[in-house]
Formats: sequence, C-alpha cells, structure tokens
Amino acid sequence: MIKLGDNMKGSFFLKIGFVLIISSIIIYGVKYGDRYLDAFNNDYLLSRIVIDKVDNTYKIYNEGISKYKDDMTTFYGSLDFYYDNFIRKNRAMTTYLAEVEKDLINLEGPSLTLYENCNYDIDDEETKIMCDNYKTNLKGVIDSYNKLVVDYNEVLDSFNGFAESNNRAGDVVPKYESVMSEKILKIYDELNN
Amino acid sequence: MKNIKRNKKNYILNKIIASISILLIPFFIGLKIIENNHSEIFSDNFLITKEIVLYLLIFIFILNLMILIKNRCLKSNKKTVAIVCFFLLFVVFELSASLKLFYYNNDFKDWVIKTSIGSINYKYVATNIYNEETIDETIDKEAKKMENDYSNDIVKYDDLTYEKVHYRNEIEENILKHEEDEYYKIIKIEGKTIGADYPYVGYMAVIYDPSRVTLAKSTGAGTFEGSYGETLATISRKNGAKIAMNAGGFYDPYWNSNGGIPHGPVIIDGKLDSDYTRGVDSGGIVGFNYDNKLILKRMSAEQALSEGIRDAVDWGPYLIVDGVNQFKNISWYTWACGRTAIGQRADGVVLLLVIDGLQAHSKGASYADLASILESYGAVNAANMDGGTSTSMTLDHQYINSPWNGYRPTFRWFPNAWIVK
Repeated sequence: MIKLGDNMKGSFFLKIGFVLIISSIIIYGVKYGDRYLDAFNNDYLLSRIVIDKVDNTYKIYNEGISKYKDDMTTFYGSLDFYYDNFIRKNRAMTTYLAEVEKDLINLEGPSLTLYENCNYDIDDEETKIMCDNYKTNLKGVIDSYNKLVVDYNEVLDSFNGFAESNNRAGDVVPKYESVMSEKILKIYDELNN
Repeated sequence: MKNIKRNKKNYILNKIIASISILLIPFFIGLKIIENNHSEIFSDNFLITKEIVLYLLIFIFILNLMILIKNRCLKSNKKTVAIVCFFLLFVVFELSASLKLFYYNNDFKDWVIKTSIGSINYKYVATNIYNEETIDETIDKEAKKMENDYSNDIVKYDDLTYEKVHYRNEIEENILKHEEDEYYKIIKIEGKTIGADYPYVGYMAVIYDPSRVTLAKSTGAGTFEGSYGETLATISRKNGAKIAMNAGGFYDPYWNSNGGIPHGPVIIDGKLDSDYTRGVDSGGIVGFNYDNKLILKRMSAEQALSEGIRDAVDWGPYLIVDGVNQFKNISWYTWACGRTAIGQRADGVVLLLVIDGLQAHSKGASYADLASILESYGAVNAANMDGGTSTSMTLDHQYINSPWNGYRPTFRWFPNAWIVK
C-alpha cells in the first residue's frame, strides 16, 4: 500500500530502519511516559483515597468528640453534691459516666482509621490540618478521661472518708477503673513519643 | 511521466494516511486518559486492542510523515529551511507557552504544586519545577485558608472542673465556704417559730478563728451606783472591733436601762472584772478558755479562773451542751422575742446569733428556736445571751439587725459585749 519515491528505493531498508528506530524511541517514550503518568495517577488516586477517607472519618470523629465533650460536661456538672445526698447523686454520675464510656468506644473506630491514614506522608494542607486536629483532640480526649478517672476517684475517696467517719461503712463506694482501650492507649503513646 | 503520476498518487495517499493517523491518535490518547481514571468500564481485550492500535497509528503516522518530508523537503532547500524554522518557532512557542503556564499562571501553578505535593511518592515533580519558596508560599496560602475553617474543631477541656471541697449539706456549705483570708462571715437567718409559725429574721456571724472572740467592757461599767454602760457601736469603736454582739445581762435597779452594772462574774483576759450577783439565777458561766473552747458550766468566779477561763459572762440558759440540744423536746410555742446567743461548733468555729423580735418582719424566736438554729449549724455548745431590747449586732460599728424596745428602735447601753477583732 505504501509506495516510496524512486529516490528512496535504493536505501529502502536504511530508511525503514531509520523509521523503526525513531518510532521505537517515540513508542518507548510514550510507553514510559504513560507508565509514569499511570504510576503518578495511581499514586495520586491513592492519595485521594486517603484524603477522602480522612475527610469522611474526620467528620464522624468530630461528631464523636463533640458528644464526648458534652457528656464530660454533664458528668462534671454532676460532681457538685453534698455528702448527705451523695448516694442519689452517684447514681446520676454513673449514668453520665456510662455515656462517656460509650463515647470512648464510639471514638475508637474513627481514631484507628484516622491514625492509619494520617500516617501517609500526604502534604495536602486540609488533610494535614485534619490529622493535626485529630491528634490534638485524641490527646485531649485521653488526657481529659484520665483526669476524670482521677477526679472521680478523689470524689469517691472523699465520700468514703465521710461515710467511714460517720458510721456509714455500708455506703462506701468501690474505686472507679479506667475503661480506655489498649489500642487507643498505644496510639496515644506513639503520638506522645 | 508514469513515475511522476505514481509518486503524486503515493504522496496524496501518504498525506491521507498521516492525516487519519494524526486525527485518530488524540482519540486513542483520550481513551487512555479515561482508562486511567475508569479502567473498570473497559474490557481487557478492548484495552489490549486499543494499545496495539495506538502504537500502530503512531508508527504509521511517523512513517508517512518521514516519507512526506523526504518527498517534499528534499526537493527544495528553501522548503527545508522553512520547515526547520517552523519547527524551531514551534519549539520556542511551546517552551514559552509552557513557561508561561507553569510559572506565570497562578491557578495552574497552585494546581501543579497541590497535586504533586498531595501525592505520596511524586512530591519531587513540584520540587523539580518550583523553588522551595514558591511551594511554601502556595502551601501557606492554602493552610491559612484552611486554618480558619478548622480552627474551631480543637476541643478544649479546661472548663471541666469541679468543687473539690464537699460539704455535708447546704447549711455546712453556708458556714464553711469562705475565702482563705476571710476570718468571719455574716449569714442571714430566716425561719418560723416552733409551734406557731411566726416569722423570724436575724443574723449569724460565723467566726472561723475562735481566738478572735473576746469580751470587751464599757468604760463606765462597774458595780457601784452611777455605773453606766455604752451602746454596742461605741464599745465596738473603742475596741476596734470588726463585729460586736451584746453579751450578759445587767442589774437595772431603777429601770433606766443604763447598763452599768453587769450581772454575775465577768472575766476579761483571764482577770475577774466584776462579780455582782443579786438574786437572779441566770444559768452559769459562758466563756472561752485559753484553748479557745466555749465553756458552759455552773461555777464560781474563782473556779472559772482556776479552770483557765479567758473571757466570760454569767448568763443563760444553756441551749446546747456537749452536742445535746436542751430544748429538743419542745415542739409547742414558747415565748418569742428578740434573742441573742453564742455557740461553738466541734471544729472551733464560733457562731454569734441575733434574732430581731416584736417587729413586723420578725416576731422573734424562742429558746427552742435558738437551739434548733444553732444545732442545725453544727453547734455542740451554745448559750442564750441577754435578749429583748438588748439584742444587737454591729459590723464595722454599724447595727446590722434592728434593735427594738417594743415601740421604737433603741440602741441600748451595755456593760460588756462579745467582740471580734
């Protein structure tokens, strides 16, 4: 189908060889460029997946954080009591405490997802801010919960001291123990180190 | 001639093939871009075929292009020069367009930086094209925009505090909650008399340091005729008291209420000041020893001094003794009028109490009411002091209650008073 001019006939194989070399170089270039773009694209797609995951999880995580803060505020509000009405008040305290514990459990999933995805080295500013906020808020949650454990036990110690010195040993309340999951604590340790 | 015709025919054919190839190549490159983003919509066979066709088209295009160039350009040096110039211009245009796009189009520049930096392994694309300053500038610009959007997401817990000191009940809190440097507190007392529900209103001075409570006497008080007392405000001013409250009763032979002769033993600073008892059984010693403990005991002045009493009067009745309310069983109405009482809690806190009487706002209180009030505030020892018109309390030399003689406000003269300095 392709017919070459007369002046090309003599060096046909030379010419076709030349065309093949140029075509190979171009095809190689296209192929290499294509692979590069593919890899770049895949890398970018992965980063988009990570970014989207962080974005979506961050919203859920933040809602959990807000609820946790609200429940913590309610709990701390209930620490205002008189010894004479402590037993009744303590029932309310333990109810609020159960809500706080539930919040911690609900925060565990999003925390782990964010931890996993925030470990990717992505310089997307929005993602970076979300990851920084996640870490700060997680630290805040753990620190505040640890403080709650100390504060609540102080309250219990205080009441138990009162109960014992007022012949009400039967009212003595057992110490409260932390329900913080090992996984979260591990993340916390890593964030602190 | 025949060859020229054939060459011309071939030249047109080459041109058509090259044109078709150049038109089809972008279409297949477009397919490739779609494949990169949505490979799931193409079958594997289609993808392989597409790849083969694309490379074949590139090959055919270059081959035809070469033939065309060869056939056309080699015939004329001018044409060759023109084509080379055209290519050079094209390259210059491409380069300048690229430079303009990459370095002077801010939106494109931001896009390249954000895309590259946002990838995991290809950050160097941005760092190879742009300098660090430009990248930082773009990132900072983006970060500032974001910070405002996310600045409220950081949750703080500083407000989660609670009152660490707890009290048994509200009354305990009323008494004991105070600033560290406060040595007294005034609490308004309101209630209704036992058995009659008459309203009473009064004030309780809570003194945290019992050593501050002492007894002061009027300048003219004594046991001789013509002795005279002073108003509570005067006694308070002369002694530099913060709080003052009337103390024991006095002998008033001519009913002129000059308050000069105190009833019974009066001990001030461990010394017997006077001891004038005339047919009134008042109750007993009410005073503080050197351990600042309120002592309620029927005893003589000598005995009181020997037992280490620091300041005392002789009056009563005793309302609470060693934690036992002496009027606990009285549930019916007994005489209510203006009342004054002194008490002490187990923790040493002294309670000075005045209840207005015989007035519209406050009918007064009975002994049972006094005992009940003081008991609820934790007093373990308490005694009644001179009441009625005598019931008076000052803060900074000003009366805080309403002393009343049954007809009008009256600031009675007293031989002595409890003062707090």
